[in-house]
Amino acid sequence: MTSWIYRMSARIGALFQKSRLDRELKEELAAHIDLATEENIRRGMDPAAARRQALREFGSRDSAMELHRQTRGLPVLENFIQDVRHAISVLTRRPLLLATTTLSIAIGVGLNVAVYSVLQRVLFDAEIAVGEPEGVVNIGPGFSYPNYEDLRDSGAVANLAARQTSSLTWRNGDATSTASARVVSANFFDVIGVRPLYGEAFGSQNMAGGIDMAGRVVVAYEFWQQRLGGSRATIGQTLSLNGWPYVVVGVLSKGFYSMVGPMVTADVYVPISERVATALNDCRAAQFDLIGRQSNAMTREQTLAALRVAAQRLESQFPEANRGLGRNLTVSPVGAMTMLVSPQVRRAVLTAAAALYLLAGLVLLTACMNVAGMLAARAIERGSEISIRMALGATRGRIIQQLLAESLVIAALGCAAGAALWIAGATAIPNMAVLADAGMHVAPGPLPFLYCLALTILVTVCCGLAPAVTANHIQPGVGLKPRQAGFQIRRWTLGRSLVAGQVAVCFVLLTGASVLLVSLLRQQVTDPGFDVAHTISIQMRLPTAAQGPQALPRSFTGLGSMVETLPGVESVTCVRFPPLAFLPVSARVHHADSNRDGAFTADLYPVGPQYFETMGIPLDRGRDFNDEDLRLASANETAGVINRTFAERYFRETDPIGRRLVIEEREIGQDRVVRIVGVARDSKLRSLNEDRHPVFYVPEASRSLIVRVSGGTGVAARTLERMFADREPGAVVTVSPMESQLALALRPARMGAAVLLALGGIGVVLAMIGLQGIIAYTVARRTFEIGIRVALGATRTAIMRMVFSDTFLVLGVGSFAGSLLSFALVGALRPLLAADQRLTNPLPLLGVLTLLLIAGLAVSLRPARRAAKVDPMTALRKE
Amino acid sequence: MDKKLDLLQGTLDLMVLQTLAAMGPQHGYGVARRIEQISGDKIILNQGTIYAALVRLQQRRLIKAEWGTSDNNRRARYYSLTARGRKQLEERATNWQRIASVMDRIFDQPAAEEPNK
Repeated sequence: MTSWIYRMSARIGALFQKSRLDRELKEELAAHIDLATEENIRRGMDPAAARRQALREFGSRDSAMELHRQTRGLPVLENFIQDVRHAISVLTRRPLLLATTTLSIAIGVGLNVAVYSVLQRVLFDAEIAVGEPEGVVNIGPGFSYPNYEDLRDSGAVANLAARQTSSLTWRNGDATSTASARVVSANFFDVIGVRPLYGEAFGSQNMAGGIDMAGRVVVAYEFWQQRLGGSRATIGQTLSLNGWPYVVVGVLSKGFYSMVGPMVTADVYVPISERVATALNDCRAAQFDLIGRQSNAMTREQTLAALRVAAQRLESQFPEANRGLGRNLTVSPVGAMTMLVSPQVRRAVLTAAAALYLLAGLVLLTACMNVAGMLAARAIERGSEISIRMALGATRGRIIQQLLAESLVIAALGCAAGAALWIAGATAIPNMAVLADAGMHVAPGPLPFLYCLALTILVTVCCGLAPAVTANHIQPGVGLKPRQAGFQIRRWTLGRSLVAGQVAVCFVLLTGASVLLVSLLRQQVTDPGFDVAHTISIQMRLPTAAQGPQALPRSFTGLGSMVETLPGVESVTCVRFPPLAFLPVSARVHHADSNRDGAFTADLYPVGPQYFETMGIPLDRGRDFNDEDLRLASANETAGVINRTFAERYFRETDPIGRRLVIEEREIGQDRVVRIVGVARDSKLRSLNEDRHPVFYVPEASRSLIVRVSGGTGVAARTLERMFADREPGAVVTVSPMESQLALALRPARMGAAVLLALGGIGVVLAMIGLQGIIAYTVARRTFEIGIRVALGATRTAIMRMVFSDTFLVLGVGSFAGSLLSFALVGALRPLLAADQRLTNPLPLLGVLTLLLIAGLAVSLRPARRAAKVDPMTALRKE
Repeated sequence: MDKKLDLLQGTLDLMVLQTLAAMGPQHGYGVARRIEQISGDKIILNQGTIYAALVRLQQRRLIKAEWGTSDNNRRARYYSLTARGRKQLEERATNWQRIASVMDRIFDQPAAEEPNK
């Protein structure tokens, strides 16, 4: 074995000393011949004959050297290195080709890697770097704090931790911002088996320095680096979170993060306490996710069974609060989509992920087709060279290997450039204003090196296949004969299929973009059904520790009456979620005089008093909510308002006012009876392009305010902002006019259209480069034919028409395939479109077709001109 | 791996080793010439092939090479046996002789008479 290793290393070493070894061998062989010659002379031959004799006895020097090289080195590797070197020198002689192909691949790969690493974060890396992940399980669906304590103490799992996603106010100097947080039980880090980089996790109850458990915080590495200065001295410092002092006891290592939402990682980890969580004594508040470490040698099924037993005990003790606790309990391994617990969310995210991947894949495919087309054209160009080499004994395999080396060089360069693009993007993305506005702290994953490597191989094969197939058709020796006149040109070649494929892909992308643009235009003129010009939405996050007499009131009633006194304010109400924020809550509802079987689904929208007056939504009948309704909101029977669609659909001719409905609330496990007091006109609730659907408004107090002002919203918003900042600087209050809320609602469609347009644009540029290449190439090949045509009397126009007809043929085939494909894509865009938007609208298709035709004509103009200028005499003589 | 060498190649390697053992350090031409002489020019050696054998033996650390000067002041590469090579030569020579004697005995058997049909 050791001698084998020695021999291999000697052989590999020989590869790197090729020139020295060759020089030495040459010298040695020369010495051999000289020695032999001298001996022959001594034997009495004349010098010339002596040398001839010596050479004859030696045999072929070339084959001796070749044999020597093969013995000392690794022929396969050497061939490969030689091919790559050759490919590099060939490609550097065509810098334009190299640059174009590398750029195409770089764009495709960069996009692909970006999508991959983002999706990896969102879908699979919910919680990474868990120590010994086999033993750690997620336990769903959600538990109240008392239930968590009981399950923890039941011993069903060895150690059980609770966690919750939250957002805390963080007062840093004079500025207040939010910090995304994991509110966790003190044993959280023990359960997941993670030790902090510096300091310790929450540690034991009686920690040195006497810091009480509720006042300790562990910070994430990124947060520590970017927001706290990244110094060791951070340990022991105090952060003001939610108005409470928290002492930093630990800094987590770089590799650990915990996702609190798509692409959002937790900044800080704080122990569960009243300072950061509410309703800790409420058995019904199922607000914590559990994560447990199984006892050794327990399977997930056994853990599930043990937990169910414990849960059923809780059910029988408190049947009111815990109905279905055991039945709904799930146990799943950590890592896979932890936070995407709801199936709807999971489906939506997966669909979006698939669509993104498809798009990135399509762009990469276009890039590959482009490169393949260019390389295939080059293979034909070099046809005579290749056929001569075949005639001299090169095998087809060897030739194809060489062509693949070229595509490997391009793929490797392109992938490296693509990875560089992504790294540049990854450093830029977290600082993007759009994301900062949306309150997202994005932490893209590290460069997925293996993935890049796999892409390189994939791209090499994709790009190299077409040239290899082309080269495979070349017959040995053909290149030696005088070139045949170019009459055998096939009308449809591999190169053309590739360009047509690219046209098809950008056709799809552009159609998608134009469909979204049409939808955007429609949404912009859509009437949301409420007054946008005079309303302001106020979101607030108040510290749990209110300080001083000037602190903001904690209840809606207090906040409302405070805001109402300001000049210019006409009325104030509150909502659980601002409208058009894509946050629906639907509920099953049935008439009080029928049973559950007649239940139907409606959106449940909790609002405050004077909601309809404040929002400027006219009431068809009945009245608005008032303060009395809010006061009775938790009573057995509350007031409710339905929208017009609800009334038309479920009350038909009868008057709904005074009728009673039952809302089945599974969360609480108790039904709620609502008496209808009003019918409001329809307004948009989830998004601007939603369909008309039944909505049910119920009274509820919350701190998300909507204010109606008499004048312009801009000035009023600033006044309000200043007032809140003066009253309580430790609070995070966002005041935004409803117009900006509207812009926010358009953001998904706008971003989708922008992405598709950008991709489509890139695709068009790539396809046009390919198209021009193929047309120019065809013209060059047909010079002879064109010469004959001109000699026979064809006009310049006729010749140009001939070239353009080629362009149209490729574009036509591509567009036809593209239009078929785009029907599939547009279906996927459904969720972003207005319900009544026709998907088969021919206008976008026609627009895209026109654009492609104009671009195609533009790029084939030069080759066409060149064709028209062909001088018959020169052309015929050349052949 | 050594056992898998095909006979001719193995034979040439063994000849080179034995030549170096008998003559001491020697250049490539000397080795090739010596083999031809000893065999009474019965082995028609393409002298060039000797260099592949020499590099192979070097890789196995059976011989080592040094640049030196020939009798008539010509710079040449001199090959000599290593300790490992000497040991290997002994083993392989013994083995070779045993095989050869067995083969001799096998061919020495009198031919059987043709059986009657």
